[in-house]
Amino acid sequence: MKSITIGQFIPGDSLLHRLDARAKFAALIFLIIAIFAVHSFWGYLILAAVIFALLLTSQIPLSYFFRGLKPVYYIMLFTLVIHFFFTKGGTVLLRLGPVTIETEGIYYGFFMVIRIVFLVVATSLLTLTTSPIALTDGLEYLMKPFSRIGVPAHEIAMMMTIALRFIPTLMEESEKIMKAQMARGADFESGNVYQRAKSLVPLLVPLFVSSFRRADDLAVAMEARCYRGGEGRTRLHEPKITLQDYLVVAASIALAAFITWGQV
Amino acid sequence: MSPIEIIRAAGLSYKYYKDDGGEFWALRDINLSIKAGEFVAVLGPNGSGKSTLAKHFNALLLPTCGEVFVGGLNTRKPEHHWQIRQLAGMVFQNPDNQIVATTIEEDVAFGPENLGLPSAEIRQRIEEALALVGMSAYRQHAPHLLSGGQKQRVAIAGVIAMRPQCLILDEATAMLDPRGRGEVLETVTRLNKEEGITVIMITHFMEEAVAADRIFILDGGQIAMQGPPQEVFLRVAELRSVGLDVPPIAELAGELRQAGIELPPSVLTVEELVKQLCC
Amino acid sequence: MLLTVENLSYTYMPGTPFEVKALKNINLEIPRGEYLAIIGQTGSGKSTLVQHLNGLLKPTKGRVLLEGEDIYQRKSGLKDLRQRVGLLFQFPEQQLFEETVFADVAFGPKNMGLDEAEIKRRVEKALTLVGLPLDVAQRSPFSLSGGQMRRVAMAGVLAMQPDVLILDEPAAGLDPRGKTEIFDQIDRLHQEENLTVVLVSHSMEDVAVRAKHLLVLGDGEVKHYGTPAEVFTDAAELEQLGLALPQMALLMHRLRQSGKDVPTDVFTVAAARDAILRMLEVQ
Repeated sequence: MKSITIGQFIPGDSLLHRLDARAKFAALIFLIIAIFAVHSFWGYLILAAVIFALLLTSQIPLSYFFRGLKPVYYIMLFTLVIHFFFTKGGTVLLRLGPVTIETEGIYYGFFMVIRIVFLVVATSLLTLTTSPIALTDGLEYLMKPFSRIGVPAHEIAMMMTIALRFIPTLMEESEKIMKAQMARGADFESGNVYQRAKSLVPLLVPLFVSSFRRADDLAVAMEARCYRGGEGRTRLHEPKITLQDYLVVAASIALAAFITWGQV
Repeated sequence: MSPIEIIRAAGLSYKYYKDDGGEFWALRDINLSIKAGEFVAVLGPNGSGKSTLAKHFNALLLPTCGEVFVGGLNTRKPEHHWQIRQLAGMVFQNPDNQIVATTIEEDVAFGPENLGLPSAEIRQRIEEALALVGMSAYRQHAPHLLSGGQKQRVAIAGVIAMRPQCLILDEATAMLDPRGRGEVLETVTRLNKEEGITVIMITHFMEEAVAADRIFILDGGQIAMQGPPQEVFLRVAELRSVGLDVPPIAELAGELRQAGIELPPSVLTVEELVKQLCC
Repeated sequence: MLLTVENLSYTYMPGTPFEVKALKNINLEIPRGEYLAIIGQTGSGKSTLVQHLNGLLKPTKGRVLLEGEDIYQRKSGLKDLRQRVGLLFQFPEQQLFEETVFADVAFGPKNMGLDEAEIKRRVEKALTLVGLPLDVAQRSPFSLSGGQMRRVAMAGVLAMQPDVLILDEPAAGLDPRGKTEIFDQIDRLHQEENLTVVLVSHSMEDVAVRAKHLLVLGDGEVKHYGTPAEVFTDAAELEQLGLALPQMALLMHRLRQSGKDVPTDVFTVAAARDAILRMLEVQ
């Protein structure tokens, strides 16, 4: 349970770490556009080279990216199988009664899987090199223009920060409550789906109760520290856009444009 | 020059409605005055109203009757609330439920950020505040990896970074182990003695009140006793009847006095008693 | 022997950078009728140790025996073990979840597969044992005070009628009166119900007068084991472990250091007064 990598940040001092979160966000979006637009062998090669170069720049051990891929293994396998059996075209490689596997299916299957890998690795590049605070701050700034049409930019960012802060606390707590109920003979592991769902009640009720109390306490503690929403609030890390940030965003736009309109 | 008064409660009463609709007076006619630089302990059993009282010093609760002044500002006026909360910072009971951010540094920054300070100033205050509570080495740490005592010291730093005149600890040691309690007590005593910050310590641990200049004992929403610890701890029977413990050494000293041994009222710790008995 | 711990070692997350040796070669015997207090700082391994006694954690090395049988090889399984070795965690009121006090206390007995009549009998007995009036049974546990909720949680373990009751910091967060009440309750269970009690605590002050034996843990090792009087003779080392001696014991040690002739097995104010009066008379 303690080894989850979602949103995990690996501190460092690489070029990617130093970039402004907003610039990284924007660059990621253009990179994703490129990943969806690419459709030739050379295009894939170019993207692979770009992403690999970014991996090296980040100075983060490759194992972290593999760990990020773990949850999508099944999706990858599923994509592969679907394309193998249902995408037709090219020459027939294998015939099993009514089912055929054809070359196009193999190509598309592998290309789709490579796309998924690109997507996950590119997104991990952002989350692994950006602290949660910088990430939520970045989001807040990017959403600010929308606050005029009623999007609560500051509140969303604050909620994300608090969620990230409390995930480890709630994990510890659920482990503790689970053990306490097991000491009273609760069984979380056997039975059918319905029985298992029912066995979660003794875990979930206490978790909800304590979460509400925590929320209450936290609200009072925040008020006591003069919190009054985003109005008039400054930040410890005022984000600064530098030339580097502009260059990275420009490069990502160029890449997306080249791949999309260049038909690569 | 007489010291400046920082907190005053005049005829303070507070009523709330229970779940079943009944009224409950949590505080009844509290009158007190706390001077700048004092170390005050407020003691009382659970349900005596001590936490309710603490929340009035920070304008988190407003009196039903009577008035509370913090730094001369009346808590009844909503426009004073932010200034009051900056003047009188508060640390709460559950260390987990008052840390907002995912790193220590960001959490200490939370208050100053709310005050709208420029980031260079915030940075400097974080450094000072963390140094004062001895947590400078943990700037970049995640809060859930700290011990209870360390978390409470971070919470204190978060308050100190707002440069308050007064620090209120609302049962901040209740959930800690003895080591954590020691850390917090040592930190606030130092802030009081060296930085001149007024400390109001709400607690039910008698040992923590020994170091205070003045003690208030609350019972049933009223002030049952007050005075310096040496005086209050002489009244063993009264403390017992309120449901509080007497520090064991104070109790022993009382018993020895009854047996005809002369001891000054200042005997509250092992060291003092040994000194009295051996010289 | 009711419970035996043999050469027990436990390592958290072995083979990772987060590896921690939480327990190192622990040996311990808990006979029927024992009142044992396990004392140590936070992180000394005391909570980890007690979770081995009812099979919530599995030893990395060594084993735990219930009446001479390895707890993982008993035919009746872990559920039966957990019924016989009751464990109450710190702040147990956080585990309450049912709509009524009755249903919550009945959770354990229900998991044991008992019939309705037996469950009712046990719930009522357990509530009486923890000193709660029976009319709370139909109320929501969340409408009770903190101290009452803790009693309900305790009743939830007692209703399984365990042979051993393990309590992790049962008085944490209570005020002095609540603390005395809960410890008195445990004493009564020990004496009247003949329950074997294991108390986990970081406070010597609370347990010195109550426990028959003390086990002092530090860094996952047994540092001391014996009667309170035996354990407190080594004041200097206990202080090094960050454990404060009970005030009266500390006073006696300090007086001895100043050359006075006083006994060291003194834990109560009354005993200390007598010792000091005797000391002054001799002078």
